This record gives sequence, structure tokens and C-alpha cells, in this order.
Amino acid sequence: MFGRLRRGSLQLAIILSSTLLVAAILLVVMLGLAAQGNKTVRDDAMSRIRQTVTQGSAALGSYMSGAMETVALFKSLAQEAADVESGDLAERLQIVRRQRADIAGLSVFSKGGELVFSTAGQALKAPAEIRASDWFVRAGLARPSTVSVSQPYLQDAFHGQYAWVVTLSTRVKYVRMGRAESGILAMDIRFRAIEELLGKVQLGASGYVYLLGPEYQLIYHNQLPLIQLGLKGEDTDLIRKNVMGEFFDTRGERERFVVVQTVDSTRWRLVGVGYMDELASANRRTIRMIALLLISGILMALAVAILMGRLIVRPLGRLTRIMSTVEGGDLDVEIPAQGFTEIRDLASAFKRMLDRIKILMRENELEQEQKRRYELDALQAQINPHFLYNTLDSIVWMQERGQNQDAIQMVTALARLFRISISKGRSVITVAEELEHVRNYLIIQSIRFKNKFTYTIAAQPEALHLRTVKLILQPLVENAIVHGLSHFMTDEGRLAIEARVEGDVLVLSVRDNGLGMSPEEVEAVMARRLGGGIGLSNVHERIQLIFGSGYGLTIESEQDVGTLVTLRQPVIREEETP
Amino acid sequence: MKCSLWIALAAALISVGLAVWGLWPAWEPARQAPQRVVALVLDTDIGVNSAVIRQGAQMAARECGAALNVEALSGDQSPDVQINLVLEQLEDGASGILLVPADADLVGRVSSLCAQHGALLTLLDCCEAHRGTAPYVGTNHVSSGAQAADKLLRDTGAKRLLVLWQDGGIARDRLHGVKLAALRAGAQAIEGDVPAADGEPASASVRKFLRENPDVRAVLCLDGALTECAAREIDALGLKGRLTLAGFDCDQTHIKCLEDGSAAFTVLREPLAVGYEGFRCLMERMTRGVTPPVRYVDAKVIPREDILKPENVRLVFPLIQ
Repeated sequence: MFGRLRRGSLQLAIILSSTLLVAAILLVVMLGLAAQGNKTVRDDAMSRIRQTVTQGSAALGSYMSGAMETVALFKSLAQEAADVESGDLAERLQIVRRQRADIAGLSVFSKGGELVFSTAGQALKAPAEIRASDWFVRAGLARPSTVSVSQPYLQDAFHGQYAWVVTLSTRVKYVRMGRAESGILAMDIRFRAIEELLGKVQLGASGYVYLLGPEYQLIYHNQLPLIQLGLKGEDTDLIRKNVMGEFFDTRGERERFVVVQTVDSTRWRLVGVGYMDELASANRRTIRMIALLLISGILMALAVAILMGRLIVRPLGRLTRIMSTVEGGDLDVEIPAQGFTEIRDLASAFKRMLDRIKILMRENELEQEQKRRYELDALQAQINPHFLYNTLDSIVWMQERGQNQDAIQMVTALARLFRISISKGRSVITVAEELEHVRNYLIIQSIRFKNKFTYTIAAQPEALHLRTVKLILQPLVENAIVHGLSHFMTDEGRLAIEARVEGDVLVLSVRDNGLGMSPEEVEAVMARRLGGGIGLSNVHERIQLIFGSGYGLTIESEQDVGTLVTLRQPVIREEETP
Repeated sequence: MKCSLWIALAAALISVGLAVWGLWPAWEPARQAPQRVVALVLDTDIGVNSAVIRQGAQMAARECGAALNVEALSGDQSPDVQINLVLEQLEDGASGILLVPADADLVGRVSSLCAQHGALLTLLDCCEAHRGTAPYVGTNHVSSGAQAADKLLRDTGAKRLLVLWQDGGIARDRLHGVKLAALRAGAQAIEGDVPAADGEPASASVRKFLRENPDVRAVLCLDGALTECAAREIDALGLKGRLTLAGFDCDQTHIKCLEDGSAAFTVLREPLAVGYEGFRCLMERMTRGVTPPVRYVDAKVIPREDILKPENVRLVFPLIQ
């Protein structure tokens, strides 16, 4: 895939890579946020359940404490009354009772269970049944100051009155018919008041609270009738195992968080049940928000990537089109410097390269032109009609004069000269061949110039097998003879030709003891301004053309002393011959 | 290239839209389906049974997140008025009707109305004669009659059982059950058809049946109000202690009989369960389309000594506070 991407569109690569990068970063960040958010929401939800149950428990405890204080108030009123059966006490108790609609009834029973006083009228039950009642027994066993709390039950002690109540009972001393007695004061509070109190405790949409008695029996549950009918269930065994505190119940389809609190002043336990999935709805909202923001971020990254890709690729595309134009041969196109710095640099570099190509092309054209000219010159040098005419004329003259041996020598030298000139069409020959060519040339010339000069040809043995450009020495020798030695008398002129190796350089030199040249003349010769200079400058340029500017001719000359022309070229062995 | 610009623009616009949607808390998708409306049409607006059926249906409605409208016939209204009540509810958008029919003829007509309005009908706690082919949730009155007779015959060992009843749909079903139980036990069920539930005609009739059957040791009243009348006559005839009396339901007079020992037990329907289960069954039909055509809610036999047991108190005194 990456290989395909690398070979594909740059714009696509930019878009995909930057979008994927941003998506990956966003994903990591969002997942981190979601995980943290989930934990926070969960902790917060659990904390809310805890607080709600604690508040419910505190409210119930407070209510029961208030009820106990009312019992204490009734107790003090009964104890202070001159006679418990007096109308005065009944009136005072009724006043207090009317202020509290949750009080179902108030009664005082003797130790034997007989009704001494009641706001409800005559008791239905026999004293023995009253004595057996749980609230009566508890109060009798408790300390005088203690108020006992019964479990909720149906109060049916009085004719025609049924009430679902909790009885608060305590021991009381009172005066009846002038006698001090003691008994049990019982105040019934309607359980409905407690139900209303607990009904206000909200734990989410389907969370709830329930109340357990000391034996873990259900005494309040919003679905108690359905539980009693077997249509619903509530596992109180879990609470038995987790008497206090909190725990998670994961047995059902929905995970529940259960908090258990003991209610003050009673032996009841308030249990709060919250459903974690419901409480985590805020978390779902957060996750939804994060998901939307993630998609939004990716899309925004995509949009930015497309624009950036376009900004980057567009100048490159323009540059590519320009390159295509250049490839078509039009080097005079305009290259605009637009886009980012790197792309502008690229355009500038391309522009510079194009300029350089133009220069090189012009130079190449010149070189080709020169090369053609040099080749023509070389050809001319090979077949110099004057040289041939003069040589042949000399041979004829020698024949006429009977100098047959000289004529033979000259013809032989001419033949060898031409054989080497041809060299089977090769342009590169050995130094030995080149020296042989020069030797033949000098044989002919020395005969023609009536032995005005003598010559020597010396070469290091290792130089003989090296390669050099064909007919490179002849112009130098011709120059020395024509311009340096032709004015000498017989045998006065000296011409020394040498071939040697200096490191990686092959040195070929032609030294004469002719007229020599002033520095200006040397300069003019190299600049082709003097007659005969054409040959030297031709050789120099040929050498440089072939081997580079580090090589070529050097002229050392002194007037009336002589001239040394040195040709330097790199060492070329046979196997390196092009 | 232009295409990529359009894509970028579209992506940017969608991105902004999603970001706004994500950050805007009020834009919660409306996930909740429209609330279903169910109407409970009762045969009477008085009596413990109706009130508790209503309570049960309300509990189920809260649980299901549905709306419950309740209508009931007033004491003196003709049964036909129930048709109008049903029609009003259907026109108000009720998609389900829970009906305690006041008359046998009503069921067919209400079924047609519901079919016309695309609503579903479920009958609650009525006699077999009233049910027709509509789905039913409630007490099996034949079974409860047999239940009562079984216990009475087993407890007393009697071979003859006087059954006091006032002609009516449910009483007829109960009588049928009593007869089946008596047959099974090899006993004889003597029908004592009483013209009224209370008052002098009822007392006279009960007295007559008691005198005509001096060897009877067990009396079963198929109507709650008759129990007190029978207890009074038994007492008046000096038969108390020789006869065992039992009855149905939990009205005030019957409870008094249980408390003073005149009656041995009562057989109670469970109207809370009827209302609750009836509503849930109807909702199940509305949401899933399948539910058993009949779902019986068991009746419970409660001996006099058990009436104040915590598990029975709310059944015996369903409206007590």
C-alpha cells in the first residue's frame, strides 16, 4: 500500500498522510478524554447515589427523631397532668396531635394492658393481646427514657379503625384517680408519612429506595404490593451479606449500584438502588459529543490537507508543465517563482540549470564547430599539396642530378610518412609511431632544406608505447623548421625532439636553436596572430579539446637563443585507447 | 483540481456542522417513541376491586412509560354508557383498551369499535359469559369457586354444602366451580339462590335455606355482602358453632365476620395483579404482537387467623393507609 502510495499522486499522499496523522492524534486524545470522562461520570453518579441515600436516611432519621420528641412531649404532659383521665389532658394532647396529621393515635395503657387513655376511643383488643404486642413488650423491657420503635403493622386495636402504622412506645408514670401508676404510652404514626418521605427520594428514572427491618424484611418498597404478589422480586440476601456500605450488583441484565445506610433512631436500613446504565447517560452524551468532534476534526483535517496539497502540488504541476515544454525543445520559457520557499528554490534551481544548459549548449555548438575545423586542418595537414608538390619536385630534381640514393631515401620517407598519416583511419597512435612520422618528415625536410639543420629524436622507452593524437608533433616541427631554422646555413640549425613521462603526464617537446621569439610574439603565436601560429594554436586547442584545459602547449622562447615547445597530455596506455 | 476544492469545502462545512451539533447539548436526538395511551374502562367507580385494579394498571403504566386514562361507570349509569366511554377514549387516541365489562353484550360492540380504530382490547376480571373471544386477564372464577369449596369441605368434612348466591355473572362461575369441587369430593352442593345481597329479603331467604337444610355443616356465600347476612341469620338461629361459614372478597362486612369469628376464611381476588398484569399483557401485544389469549391471576384463600399477616394485610386491606 505504501509502495503504491509512494508511486502515486503527491497530493493524494499529502492528503492521506496528514489526514491519517490528525485522525490518529485526535483518536488518541479523544479516547483519553472519553476514558477520563467515563470515570468521572461514573464516580459522579455513584457519589450522587451515595448522597441521595444519605440524605434520605438523614431525613427519615430526622423525622423519627422528631416523632420521638413528640412522644417525649406527650409523656411529659401525661406525667404532669393531675389526672390522666381528666378532660384537660385530653384537650392538650388533641391540640398537639392536630398539628401533626401523621399521628394516627395516642394511647396510654396500664402495665396490665388496659386502656387508660386514648385519642381513638375504646380499644377492641383484650388487655392480654395488647400486652403481647411487640411495641408493648419492647417499651416494658427498655429503660424509662427510651422510646422504642415498632415495625410497620396494621393497627386494629380499635373498633372500625385500621391504620398502617409504626408505634413509638415508652414507659410513662401518671396519676389516675389520685393514684400514681405506671404504664406504656404509645403513639401511632402513619406509615404513609414515611412512604411519602421515601417516595421523594429520586435515583434516576428507574432507581429506587427501599427500607428493611432489623430482620432484613421489606417494610417499604415502591413495588411492595407487587413483590408480595410474587410479580416482582427484591433480593434482600445481598443486603444481609453487605450490611453497611455499598456494592455493585451485576447479576441482572443491568448493573446496579446499591448503597446501604442505617436510619438513625431505628434499626431500619435504607437501601438505595441506582442503575449505572441510566446514570451513565451523561457519559453517552459525552461519547457522542467526542465522536462528533472526532469526525468533525478528521473532516476539517481533510479539508486543510486538500488545500495544503493543492498549494504544494499546484506550483509543482506548473513546474512539471514547464519542464515538459523544455523537454520539447523550448528553452526560452519563463519560470515563475511561486509557492512555498522550497518550491521557489526548486524553480530557481531549475532556472539556473536551464541557463547553464543554454550556455553548455552554446559551448558545445562552438566546440563542435572547432572540432570540425580542426579535423579539416588535420586533414589538410595530412595532405598538404604544397608539401607533396615540393617533395615530389625535390625527388625529380634529385633524379635529374643523379642523386638516386637521396631520391630513394626521400621517396621511402614520403611513403612511410603517408602510411603513418593514414594509420588505417585511426586518430590515436603510439608515441613511437608519431616519432617515426616526425622522423620521416624530418628526413624529407632536411633534404629539401639542404641540410641546414640537424635533428635528434629521443624518447624514454616507457614513453614509446603510450598513445597520443596522430600528427600532433608534425606542426610543431614544421613551425620550428620554417620559422626558426630556415635562415641558418648548413648544419647550423639544431632540432631536438623528445618524448618522456613525468608522472601521469606524457611530455613531447621540440627544441630548436633558431631565431627565437619575444614574449609578445609568443603571445601572438598562441593567439594565431602571427603566420605559422595557426599550426601551434591548432595543436594547443586540439589537445585541450580532447584532454581538457589542464593540458596543451607551452612555448618557452628567447630571441636569438631558440624556442622550446612542450606538449603535455595525460598518459594513455594501449588498453585505455578510446 | 476543482473537484478537490469542492470536497474540501464540503468537508469543512460538514465538520463545522458536526462540531456545532456535538457541542450543542440541547440537540439531543429524539429517541423516545411517541407515548402509548391506554384506557382503563371500569364497570363501576365504587368498590375496592375497581380502585385496586386501577392502582395496578397505574403501576404498570409507570413502569412501561405509557399513559393511562381511567374511566368508570357511575353507580346509576346504564352499561351502554361504557360504549360511549370507550369510544371517547378511542377518539382521543387510545391505542389499547382495558375493559371490565358491565354487561355481556358490550364485549362484542367494544371489540368492533376497537377494530375500527386499530386499537387492541383486553378484558379484565369478568365472568366467562362476558368474555367473548377477546383476550382476558383476571381471576378464574370457576377455579376460585372450586378452591373455596375444596377448603370448606376438607376443613369441615361435610358431605352437604349450602351455597348461598345471588344470581350474577361471577357468582355463576363460582357456583360452577363449587359444584365441580363438590362432585370431586363426593359431596352435595345445595344451591341457595338469594334475591338480594342484603336487607330483609336476603335475610328471609337465607333463613329459609338454613331451616330447610338443618343437617348442613358448611355454608359458602359466593358474594361478600351475603356473608354478613348469613352470619347474622346463623347466629339468630342459634347455629353458630355448628356451622362453618366462608365467603368471598374483602368488603368491610366480610372482614367484620372474619374478625369476630363468624366466618372461617375468605377467598380473595388479586385486583392489583389483575390491573398490573392486564396492562403489561396489553402493552406486550401492542409492542410484540403476541401474548396468550387468557392469563389467569390466582385467587388466594385466607383463613381468619391469617388476615393480619404482613403478606396478607395489603390484600385484605388494599386501600388502608
